[in-house]
Amino acid sequence: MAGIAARLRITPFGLICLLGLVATLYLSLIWAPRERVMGDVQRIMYFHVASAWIAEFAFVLVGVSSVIYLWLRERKWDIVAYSAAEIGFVFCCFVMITGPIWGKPVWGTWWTWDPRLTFSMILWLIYVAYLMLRVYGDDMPQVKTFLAVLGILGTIDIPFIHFATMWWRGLHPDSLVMTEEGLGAGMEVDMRIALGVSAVVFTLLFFYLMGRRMALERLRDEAEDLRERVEHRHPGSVGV
Amino acid sequence: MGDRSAPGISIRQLTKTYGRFRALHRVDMEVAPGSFLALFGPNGAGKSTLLGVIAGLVRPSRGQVLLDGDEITGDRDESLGERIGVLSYQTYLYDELTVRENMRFYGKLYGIKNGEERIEALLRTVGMDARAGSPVRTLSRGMRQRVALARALLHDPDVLLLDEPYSGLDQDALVMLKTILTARNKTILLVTHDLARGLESADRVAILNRGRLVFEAGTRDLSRVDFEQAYRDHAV
Amino acid sequence: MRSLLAQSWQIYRKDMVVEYRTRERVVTMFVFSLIVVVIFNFAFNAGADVVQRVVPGMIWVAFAFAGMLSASRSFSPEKDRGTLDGLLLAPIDRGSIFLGKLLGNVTLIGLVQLAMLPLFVLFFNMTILPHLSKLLVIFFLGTVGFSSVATLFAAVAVNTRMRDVMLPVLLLPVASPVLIALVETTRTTFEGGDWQDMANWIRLLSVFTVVFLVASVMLFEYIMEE
Repeated sequence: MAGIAARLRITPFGLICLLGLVATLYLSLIWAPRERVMGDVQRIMYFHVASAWIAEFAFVLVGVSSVIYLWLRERKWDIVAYSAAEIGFVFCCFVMITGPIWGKPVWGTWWTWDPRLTFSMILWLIYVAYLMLRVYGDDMPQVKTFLAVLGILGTIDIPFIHFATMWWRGLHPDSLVMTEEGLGAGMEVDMRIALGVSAVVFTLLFFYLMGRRMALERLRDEAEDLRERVEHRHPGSVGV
Repeated sequence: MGDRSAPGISIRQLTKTYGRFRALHRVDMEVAPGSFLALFGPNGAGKSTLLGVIAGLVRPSRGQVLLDGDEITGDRDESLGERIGVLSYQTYLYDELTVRENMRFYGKLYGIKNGEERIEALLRTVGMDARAGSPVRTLSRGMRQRVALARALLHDPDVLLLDEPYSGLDQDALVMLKTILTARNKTILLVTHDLARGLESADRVAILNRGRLVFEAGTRDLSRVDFEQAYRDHAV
Repeated sequence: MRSLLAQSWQIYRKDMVVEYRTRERVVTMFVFSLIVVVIFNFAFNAGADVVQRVVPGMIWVAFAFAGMLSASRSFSPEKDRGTLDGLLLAPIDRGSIFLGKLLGNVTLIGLVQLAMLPLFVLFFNMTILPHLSKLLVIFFLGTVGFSSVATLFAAVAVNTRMRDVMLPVLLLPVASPVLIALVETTRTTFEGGDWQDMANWIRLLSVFTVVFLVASVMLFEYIMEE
């Protein structure tokens, strides 16, 4: 086991995440009781809600590290923001995918402009904007500053989006299955435990992925640095 | 404003990277108070970036620029603009406004006292007083460059940064520019491709290549032939 | 603070003189809004029955796009002709460049709104006069809030390769709470609602406007340095 782990470069922390995921799968798919109204499809909630938590948490991290980046101008904080944005985006995509899968049998429709889903949709769009600026602004000198500005404004925006989407639907009473009140009301203790474990494991997984992603970015910087040095000594010797 | 003496500029370990591109790499340079330094180098050598850093437009990645011993590369100090004048191939003039309106606008931004008189005097100096009421859009390239010169001198800066200032200037204007530049009460940095013209007016010359300072010398004992040879050796 | 406002005023005045002589922005914005309204009319086949529901959204789609046009054009000529550097070299608080541009954008969007409102009355047979005071407050708050973010992101987008595409991509998701609030308050107003019926929205609009205005003035300095 340890040998395989070493060969796959799985750190002890990674191993914990892996075991945690297995535990989450067991708790949510087998151990937790079947929801009376929605049936087994409700089990997707354990992943959906945990992902939504990470998506939001990651964006706050983007915002906080962006502030520190503008303040200290150290590349590492830009790396934190970038990594958090990429990983947060993946989780946000997961929210956008699991939402409709859950919604179809429950609401009879893939998509509904329920406040939580609408919130996730807008958050997802801000992530997309962030990553687009990162990719298409690659050749701009100030792109890191711009990204930090977007990260900060996006984070400040989160409460506004939250209230706007909530009140927006609030004026037209719709099913509130996926709001927090709706969730808490019908949940048994075992369900809450499964959701709690899932949220903790997803958080650990997020930090594990952060570590890997940041290491990757540092390696890229290092490779770039080496390339630059070789290029300087032997102009034209390294193809771009 | 004008009663301040021309400051010395110290550039220390100045590095600026644009993503993967290293525009300036550990440049060290001293410009003595009131002296005239001409900076040469091929395209992309980092000349304009260097001027940009001194002007406060570009934030260096590492290193410092000191003006009379005070660091100007840290947090932006608004008053830096009062000491620095920039004349570049870009005129910073608005096409839709008249010459006088452009000057007045910048006069207000720079907080010039008795601006009207100063503007008229400067426009006379650069020979543009007759066209003061014309929209900049109707002026020729050379005329715009003359107005740009007046604009750069509007707040009587102690430091003049010139980035290819000769572009579009006719013979008269060149003579006039030279007269202004030789009235030495300013520290001057000139970036140009024109080796002969740069060598002629400057006290010192320097060559930048690929972001590094590769050559520096005084002009007193430097013949044009020697310098052209040096340029070929270091920059081509 | 006084000099910040005085400098902003200089930049605003300069922009307005240039705009008065070319009338480029305000004319394109007006024509653009008009086209949006006409196209929306086709898209929803807005008969009397749906007008009440659709028009508030239509109004703000038209003005949001006109606002983006204005914000974008407030920076692109300065950037392309190099005059932005002229402003950056001046010994001024760079926040004043932002405020001057913002003020210009609010003015131009406001002009377009004033020109469009009679047309809404004409096209959709709407009654506006009894709601005028409410609408003025809502429009003013919303336009300032939206323009703050739009002006800031326009300054970012003008530096990117795909500036015309990047502005809506950056701006609209972040500005979505304002747009939702504007559509909701406008609708409530047309439906004869009172201030109490939209107290939450007005609060959201006001707080958003103040928070993003302050944040934008502070962040603008960072955006401007290379």
